[in-house]
Amino acid sequence: MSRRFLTQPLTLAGLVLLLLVAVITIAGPLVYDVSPTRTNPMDAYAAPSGHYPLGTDQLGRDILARLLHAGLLSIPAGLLAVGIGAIVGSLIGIASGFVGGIVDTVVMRAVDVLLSFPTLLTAIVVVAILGPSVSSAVIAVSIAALPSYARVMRGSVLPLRTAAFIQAARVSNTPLHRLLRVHVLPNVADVLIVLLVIGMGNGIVVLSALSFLGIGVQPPQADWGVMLTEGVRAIFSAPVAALAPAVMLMATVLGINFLGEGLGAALRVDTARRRPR
Amino acid sequence: MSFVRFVARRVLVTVPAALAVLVITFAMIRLVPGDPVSVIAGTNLDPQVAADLRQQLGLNDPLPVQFLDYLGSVLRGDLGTSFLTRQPVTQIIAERLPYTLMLTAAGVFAGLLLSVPIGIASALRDARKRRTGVSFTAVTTLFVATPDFLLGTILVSVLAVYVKIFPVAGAQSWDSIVLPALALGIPLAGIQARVIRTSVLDVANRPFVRTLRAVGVPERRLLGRNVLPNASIPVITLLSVEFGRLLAGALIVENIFAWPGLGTVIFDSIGRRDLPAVQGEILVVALLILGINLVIDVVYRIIDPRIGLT
Amino acid sequence: MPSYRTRIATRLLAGAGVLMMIATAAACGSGSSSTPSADQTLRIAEAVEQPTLDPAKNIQYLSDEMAAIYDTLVVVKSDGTIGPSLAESWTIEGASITFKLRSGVKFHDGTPFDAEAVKYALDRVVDPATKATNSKSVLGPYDKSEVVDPQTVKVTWKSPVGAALINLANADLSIPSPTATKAGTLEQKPVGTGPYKFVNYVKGDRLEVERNPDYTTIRPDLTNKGAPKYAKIVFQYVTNVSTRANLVSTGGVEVAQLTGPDAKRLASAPNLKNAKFPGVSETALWINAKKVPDVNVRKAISAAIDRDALIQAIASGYAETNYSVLPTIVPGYDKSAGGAVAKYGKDDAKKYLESAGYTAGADGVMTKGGQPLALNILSSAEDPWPAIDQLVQDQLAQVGIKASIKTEEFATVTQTRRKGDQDIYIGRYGILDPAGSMNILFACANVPSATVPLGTNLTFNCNQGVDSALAAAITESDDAKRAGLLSTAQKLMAEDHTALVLYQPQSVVFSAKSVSGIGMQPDGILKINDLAPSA
Repeated sequence: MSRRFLTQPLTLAGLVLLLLVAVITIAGPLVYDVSPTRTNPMDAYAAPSGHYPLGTDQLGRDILARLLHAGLLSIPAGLLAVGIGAIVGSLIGIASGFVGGIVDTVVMRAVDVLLSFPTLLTAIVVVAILGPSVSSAVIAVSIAALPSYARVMRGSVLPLRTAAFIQAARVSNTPLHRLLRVHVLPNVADVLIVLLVIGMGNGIVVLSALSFLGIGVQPPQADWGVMLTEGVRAIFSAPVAALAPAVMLMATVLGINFLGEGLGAALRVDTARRRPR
Repeated sequence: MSFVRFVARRVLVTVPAALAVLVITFAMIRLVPGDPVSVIAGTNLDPQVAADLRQQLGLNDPLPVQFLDYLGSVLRGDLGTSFLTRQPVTQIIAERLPYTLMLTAAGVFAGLLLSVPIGIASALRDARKRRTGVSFTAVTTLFVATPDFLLGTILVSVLAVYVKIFPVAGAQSWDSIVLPALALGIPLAGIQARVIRTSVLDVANRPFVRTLRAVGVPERRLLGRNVLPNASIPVITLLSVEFGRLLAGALIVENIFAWPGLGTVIFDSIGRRDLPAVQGEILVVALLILGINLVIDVVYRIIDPRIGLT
Repeated sequence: MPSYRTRIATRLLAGAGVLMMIATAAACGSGSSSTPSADQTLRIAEAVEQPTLDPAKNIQYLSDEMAAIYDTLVVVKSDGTIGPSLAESWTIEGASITFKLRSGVKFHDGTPFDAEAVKYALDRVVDPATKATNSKSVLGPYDKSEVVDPQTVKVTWKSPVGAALINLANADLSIPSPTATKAGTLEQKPVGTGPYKFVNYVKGDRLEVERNPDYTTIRPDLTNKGAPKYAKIVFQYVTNVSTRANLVSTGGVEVAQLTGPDAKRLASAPNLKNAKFPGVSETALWINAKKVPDVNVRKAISAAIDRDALIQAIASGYAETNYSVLPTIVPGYDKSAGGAVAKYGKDDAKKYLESAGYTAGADGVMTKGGQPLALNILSSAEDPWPAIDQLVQDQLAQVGIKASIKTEEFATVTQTRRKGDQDIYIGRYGILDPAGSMNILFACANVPSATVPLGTNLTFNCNQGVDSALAAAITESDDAKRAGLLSTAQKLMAEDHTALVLYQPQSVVFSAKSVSGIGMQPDGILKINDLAPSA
């Protein structure tokens, strides 16, 4: 499988993109030694020039310096938020759909309830309990993402529950965890990966929305989402302020997506081969 | 289990869920920090007037008393009066909900319009090549990963400011809905197209489809009768999730397009701690989501009668 | 059958394309028909929607649409003096004012405007059943109204209120039709005596009003004393400032107020004109005197802040510098009072810190007794506060003051700031009646504490001199004497350095060239009846 994964052209494209982003964010701040917080109000929204390679933002801060520092915050936070939500949500969904019965009914109604609360309110509550910090924001975003994964995964498991090969496994008294691992997971992995990689970009952006409520990243720190939100305000007069973080964000998400697709394609071939006929 | 019994049971289980929403919303909005009177008062209000207001709004009552009062009025169909607008909350919802439903439906429609053809086409093409096209992944990813406000701003600048095809904002003519619907629908289409593609591929590779193909069932019939209905379950599930998200989360889109929906109102109500409004609005959204999921479960049952409650 | 699959795929993709094109084409066709004739209907984009159209229950101060529908008894002219509107003239005796009302004025529903209507409106504000907040706060210690004759009403306060007339000019004390109020329909269908009549309201979207053909006014601040020049006005609610900018630049509306980068962007747009008006709110920095008791440190903070830089970066140049705590256009404003405020100068800031006993450490941070000078800044997390926080933080760092920022959601920050854990709070305040508002903002009695949980004095400072000057100004009816007292209070506030004005934002009204008569009242409300199609 690993060879199949690595030889997918998508995998290659994803690796190249992510490597690029990683090099920029990790090595960038070391090489480009300009303060991301020093303001120069008289140079606000300066166009890119020799002095400011990507121009400046509203307060005359160097966009390139801010962009490089922001990456270190955005990528891990986005990954964590969506990762936690997806893993917990999927496990709930798979278990619920597969076990069925009263458990399924109760869990799914609980998911419905969770789904009805705006992310905003959930975030405010989480912050009220844990205090304002980046990790509170990450937890809030993962809780908000959780119900979607649970519902979708349950939906994918439902038709499998009655499939002949699963029925057979049941009759033969295969333990539940083995049933899930061998027969269910490979079948739903594909949908899961699609959702997971798609959630990443959203995660970073939702995190930025929360920092505008004083939840999450506190100024003068910034992540790409915060830079983007700030930049969009002046998008007509100084487009670089919004486009620079947008490009980084998209490159990251695109890279992860390509990797995910490559993995999905490899898995698909794999499971198709392994599935009982 | 008969179909009728299935539906009846399914309706019954939504009642405790609705009750849970009621209790949780009430507790959440009261336990978080922030004070409605401080918000209304700002820095300009005489402290004595502010203190009187707290009494008038019933905020000095013990929480259990407040909750029983609230529960009682909800059962009578009264969701209370907004602290901010002094309007009955039911009236606020009645004014805003139609716009939200309209926009959500239009967003889902726009999403399907884009995603169904793209998803199926890509699946059919890839089934042959046995790998995913880079362009498909790139396009759908860009659809999804473009942040709402950037996408909205781009749509406005291109289709309303530079080429004046659609109105910039508002809800005053029928074509006002096109841009906000696209802003909601494009990210949805990105997700939908991929789920559609994946599930079509998945079903197309299942043994029964292969068998049918081997015995010479025409490809068109195979697609219409066997592949698509089976592939639609994950799509419908996703739609139910997204419907909820769109309902509650159209906030940014509503703000950019000055669309008078419920999203901005919920945001404002939470931000200003308008307790009765928050409770009522979230309750109604929750009932909608519960209702939609109920319908979807019934649809599952119709598509695949083997799926029951137990 | 790969070729067949490819064909289906191609067809489906083509289908999607065609559908999008049809949708686009259909929209194109209808686009032109929705443009109303500009010479009849005026469309104004409003940033803030009124929570309610009942003036007594309102909790928002600025409102163009309320001024279109309702009139007030008197108005504040641009020089800060009072002019007649529904009241022709008035006489002040102690805590009472007797108003002679205009005759022949009718509400939109035909009810005659008279002394009964005024009495009913004011009594209603203080009636607990109304649950009024802002209007009640504005009306002050109101006692009663007596109908002397149909055109004469005597309004009495429990104690003399120096700013009683300014307060009665506030839109929250507009006079609504008693008939509509009693019927309980005022919020759905507001009825006043104003230049425009209510037609239709779509919550969250727009409010439509039409010309009141019988309208006449004696307001000295208006040019047009007769019926309005537009047949109809549509107030369109658009929170997002960029959206307002796009609307006014594409002709979606004719009038919009803009701020920041969007105002700058359209300043030179060929199809638009703009007019700047002084604001009545101040963007300010409160220093908590309990946490920062040394006035030299407070002076150093003031001297560290480059206000011009703030105006350029945050307000895109659309603001004025002001060193007094009162807005420049408020009656009683004393420019000379600002002389005591420490002006921008990094060296000055360092000198103030040195006289407070601080010395520069190795890392440039000022220290005293081994303790670095570290302050925390609190603000709301909403735009534009974090930007201001960060600029102030960096400017403080440049003189050796280490500052940290904490932003909170608005609903939380309104509570947190009263606990007084912050050294600096950055926010905005508005001034309506100078003595009353300053009293709310700076009086000893309003310092937040266990007994005054909703206290409004965020300086946490009690200056007896300010207190007594304001107390006297509140009851003083003589304009000159009141101005003298206010001047004293402003000077003392300036010396204290507890409330530093960063800048005074301007209102910038953008409009299509087809609109003339753009003017603004001192309270930030457009002079609605002066708006007219250009000749």
